[in-house]
Amino acid sequence: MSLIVIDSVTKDFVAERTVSDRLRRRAAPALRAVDDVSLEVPAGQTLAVVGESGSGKSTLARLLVGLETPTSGRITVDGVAMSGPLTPAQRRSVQIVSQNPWSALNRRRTIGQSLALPLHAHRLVAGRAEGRARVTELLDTVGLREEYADRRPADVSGGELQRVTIARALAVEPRVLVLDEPTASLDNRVKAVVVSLLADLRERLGLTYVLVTHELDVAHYVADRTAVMYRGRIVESGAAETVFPSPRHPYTRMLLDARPQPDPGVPSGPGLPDPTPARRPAAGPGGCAFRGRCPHAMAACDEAVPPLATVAPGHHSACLLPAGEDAALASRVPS
Amino acid sequence: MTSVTVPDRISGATPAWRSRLRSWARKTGRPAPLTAAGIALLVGFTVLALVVPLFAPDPRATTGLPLESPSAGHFMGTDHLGRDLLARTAAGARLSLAVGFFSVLLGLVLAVPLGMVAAYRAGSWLDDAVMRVLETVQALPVFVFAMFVIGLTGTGSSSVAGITLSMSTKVVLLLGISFLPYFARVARAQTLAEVHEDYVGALRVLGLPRRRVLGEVLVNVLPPVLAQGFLWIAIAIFAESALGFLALGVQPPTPTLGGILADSGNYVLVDAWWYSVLPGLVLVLAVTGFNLVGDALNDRIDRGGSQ
Amino acid sequence: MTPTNDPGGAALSRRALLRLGAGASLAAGLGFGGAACSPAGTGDAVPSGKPGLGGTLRVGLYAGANDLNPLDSTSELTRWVTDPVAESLYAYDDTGTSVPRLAAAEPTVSPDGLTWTIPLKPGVRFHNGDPFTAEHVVACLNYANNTSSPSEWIIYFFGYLAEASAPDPLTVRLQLVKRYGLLRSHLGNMPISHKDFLTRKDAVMGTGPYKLTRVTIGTGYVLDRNPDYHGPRPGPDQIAIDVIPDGTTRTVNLQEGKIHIATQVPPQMVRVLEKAPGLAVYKVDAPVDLLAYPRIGKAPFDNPLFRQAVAYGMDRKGVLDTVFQGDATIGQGPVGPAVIGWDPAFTPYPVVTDVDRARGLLQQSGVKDPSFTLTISNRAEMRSIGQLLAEGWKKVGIDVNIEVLDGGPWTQKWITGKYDFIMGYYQSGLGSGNANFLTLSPAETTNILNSGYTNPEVDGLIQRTWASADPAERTGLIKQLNTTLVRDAVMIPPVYPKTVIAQSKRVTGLSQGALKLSRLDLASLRILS
Ligand SMILES: Nc1ncnc2c1ncn2[C@@H]1O[C@H](COP(=O)(O)OP(=O)(O)OP(=O)(O)O)[C@@H](O)[C@H]1O
Ligand SMILES: [Mg+2]
Repeated sequence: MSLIVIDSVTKDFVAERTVSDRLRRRAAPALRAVDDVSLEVPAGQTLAVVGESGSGKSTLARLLVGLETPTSGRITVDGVAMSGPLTPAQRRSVQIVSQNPWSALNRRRTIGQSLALPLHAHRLVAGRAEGRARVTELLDTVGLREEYADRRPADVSGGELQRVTIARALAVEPRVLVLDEPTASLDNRVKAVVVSLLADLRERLGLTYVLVTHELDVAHYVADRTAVMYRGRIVESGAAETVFPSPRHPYTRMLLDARPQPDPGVPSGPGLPDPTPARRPAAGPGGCAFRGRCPHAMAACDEAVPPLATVAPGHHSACLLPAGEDAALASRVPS
Repeated sequence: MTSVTVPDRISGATPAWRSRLRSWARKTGRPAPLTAAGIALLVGFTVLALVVPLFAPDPRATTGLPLESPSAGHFMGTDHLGRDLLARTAAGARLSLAVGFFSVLLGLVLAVPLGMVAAYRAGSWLDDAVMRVLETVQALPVFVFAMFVIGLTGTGSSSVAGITLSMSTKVVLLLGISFLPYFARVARAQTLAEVHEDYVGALRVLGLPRRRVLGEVLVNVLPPVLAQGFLWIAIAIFAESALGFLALGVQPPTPTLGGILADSGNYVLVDAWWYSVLPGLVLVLAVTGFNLVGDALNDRIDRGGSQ
Repeated sequence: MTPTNDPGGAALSRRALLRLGAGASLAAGLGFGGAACSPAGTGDAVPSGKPGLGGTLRVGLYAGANDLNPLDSTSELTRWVTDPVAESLYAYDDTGTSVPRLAAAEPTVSPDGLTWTIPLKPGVRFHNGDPFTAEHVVACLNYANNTSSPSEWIIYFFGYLAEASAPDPLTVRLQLVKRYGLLRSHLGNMPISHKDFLTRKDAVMGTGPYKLTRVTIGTGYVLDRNPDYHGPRPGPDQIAIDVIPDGTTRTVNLQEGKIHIATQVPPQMVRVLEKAPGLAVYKVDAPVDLLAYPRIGKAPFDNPLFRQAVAYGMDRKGVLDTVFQGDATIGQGPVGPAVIGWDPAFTPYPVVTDVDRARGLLQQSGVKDPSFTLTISNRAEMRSIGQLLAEGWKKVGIDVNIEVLDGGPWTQKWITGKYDFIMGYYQSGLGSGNANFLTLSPAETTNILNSGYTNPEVDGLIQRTWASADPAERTGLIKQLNTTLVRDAVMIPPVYPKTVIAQSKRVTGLSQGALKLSRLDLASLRILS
């Protein structure tokens, strides 16, 4: 059985009822950030969740670490529901690394203090000296020298700081790391260092990753499996080595086309079509969420939400387009 | 060029605070002239309040003739009962400073946890309840609240649940409680801003108990709140003086700045200029000093100074 | 009842806040220029002109009364406003003799002394045109003698007056329970108002030379001349009384010519005003008391030796010189220079604190860790007196706490007896004339204001004093009473203050005879033109 099981998880955010809502006895509008998502991650593997901004990736990440509670559905890690009461050991088993390392660290604490805090809270070390030694060790794990312990976040570069947040997550010896855009705020050179560090750590420590990113190349490099999210739903999922070279969902393809080309000689793709004006207005709820922007949208797309169908072994796509046609049409997408 | 090699052992022993102090000094540089003036005023006021009483004559005793003008014997002259005005002003300043400091401290000690918990549970019934109660207290202006309670309980010492509260304790309590809503609001707003920072989530995920998480948030909430509190010391000093002025504060013969000013008002026309001007100046300058320094502190924190 | 006469809370706080603001700006060096010294305005020049009728007389009063009904309050704050409006049956002439005013003649007293018949002056009308008749007088007396009315006059009549009746419209008959010679004095002090106005606190209707035409609460009053007045024509056509709580402001207003008369001149301002050629200052011995009652019902003042120690340790001279700048008389007991029975030679207590004697008495008394709370009313002079006395007592070894209370709470303390030593400033003359009735009465065991002092000899003396119709006998009895009360240290005021009034020389005719009885006779003033 997979280490992480996400089973039909939906998360709605209910806005506060405004005065006008109250007067009209109306429930506040709900925003569905994550919509009926099911995914599994076996131990030791990396799942990359990709999607554009606002697609619900971070919400999924927060659900995974128990910072949010699912509106429906269930997330388990090693059989333990993340939304329920957790023992300290269970609590420690899943850690998060987020996008902005400056925000992720207490700016008034030294790096050493930030790293020591979880160690002492969980009594993973006995006494100050041992704490200090373990902090040095953690810094070393992420490739930082000992003297970083006495610095404050403001005095350290972004890449180094992100390594510190990784070190802090590792302090409690977790099995799973949820990485929410860990490299988004870093420049390219540093990005590569962090990505390879992450890959290295996974091997050394036998970690399982859920990597949330909109950077497909990062996902490609690290992931075993990929899930593509669009407006809270998984529209395509499968092994990284099949999804990236042969995407099945038009949205995935768009994402891949929009990706900046590493080779400056080759012009980059046209980018994602602007969602507005929609080619066809998304007529009411129901139907494929992507149809407004989809070059292949057809009448059937208005009817129902396309289910996630198996298109190849271990490869799923939520598109009604027949496989062959899809491929044929794909060639007509301007590039 | 001589190079001094500092042995590791010694450099390792250099306390962190010293290097922090040095880096702070480097970053802050020279204070702005107004801030420097504010600091000077505060130092002056503190010396007057804490050091002068050690040397000055008994502020209650008649040590001269009534309304003697300033002289070598009485640097600030004497009051209408022939008491040394410097001694009285210093004693009044000491009381004002103590009341200002302790009332703000009390307000902070009560308000910061309240505001933080309310913010941490923003939107919950707890937040709602705390904020409603505080709004109610705040509806009564600081001064009116204090006057009301003193009107009810009198200007002497009162005993509550077997504990005798001296008048100065009562003033501290009243001012502290009436400051509570203001401080709680600042603490709540700061905490609200802070809980959206990723480290709060990260610490929760790390499995830190809520108490410890709030503790981490506190170190970021506290500096702006303390800077606010500093400004409020000025308000507390002024309020204490105003209560004394209305004879609703600490009672004579204990000197209070407000009491001295109230009495001196009767002697403005009899050429005893020093009687109202000098203690009045002390009060105004002290309040100005706290304001200048408090503003500077607030500015520094607004600019995101994190050290 | 409100036997103290301190400014009301609201007026106080507003004034004080204003002054705090002023103090701050002064201190900041703003607006300090002109305020400090040299009197300006009319104070500088001696005005010339002829005194004449008409014009508006302006008076600065130090506080606004809470109750304008002269049958409720004997405070000067009420009476100085209402006296020109509501007259009494008898009034004092310039020599201080009580002569018929609304009465037609002296009362006729039955041989047993229990039935008094008073003929009323015919043809007198109230300001609303109603004829002045016996039924109004009876209504006033019944109101004053009614325990459930808020009238301070209850202490003057209760237990003595059985019934008041009107056998005919111009005759009032009083039936007494026991002989009450002092009643004649009360009849000259108690104003008569229209029976329909007895329960009003915001207005007064009388027969006097002025009508009350406007009341602005906390700010002032306007009185207009009554053209149909039954007596001689009063001087000014209008009297405007402004409430100016701050003593300094009051004197400045006088100097600047904004008011003609300033009441309650602060002692420190007297010298300044006396130097101004255009002003006159009157310092008059009047029935003004520094009420000074130790609570004899409980420790430590239940100990007569301790009381005497306190009396010997009292810094009378300090109060006289420092607070009153010499304008007062050293105090001994309840009887001061303006009331009958005063004996200037009777001075058992020292002018200057007798520390050794006081210490000796204290030791003899056996009181351990002597300390008490001195409760004073909230006036600048009282605060100074309190602090001076406390310093003096400290030298003797008595630790004194000071408690400053506004009028209402102060009175509450006095009535409920929850004090150690209570001190307040009171003009008793408006109710008691020169007989010191109000100040002496609390010495009687059964008096509501009794401090716990019980002495059958004193009780007997008091009864006889009030019963006596013979002024000479009464004077002798009061002397005797005073001696006992001073010896027992039951009432020990440090000084007897004077009534201090300053006036602009643009008006003439202020009656000092009236001032000696705490009256301010505004009707007989003339404004120079
Ligand atoms: N706490 C919240 N309350 C209300 N709405 C929220 C909340 N958190 C997220 N949302 C909404 O849910 C949707 C998904 O947000 P989420 O942050 O998960 O997207 P994302 O894929 O991480 O985007 P990005 O790449 O910009 O980080 C957005 O529309 C967002 O506004
Ligand atoms: Mg996100």
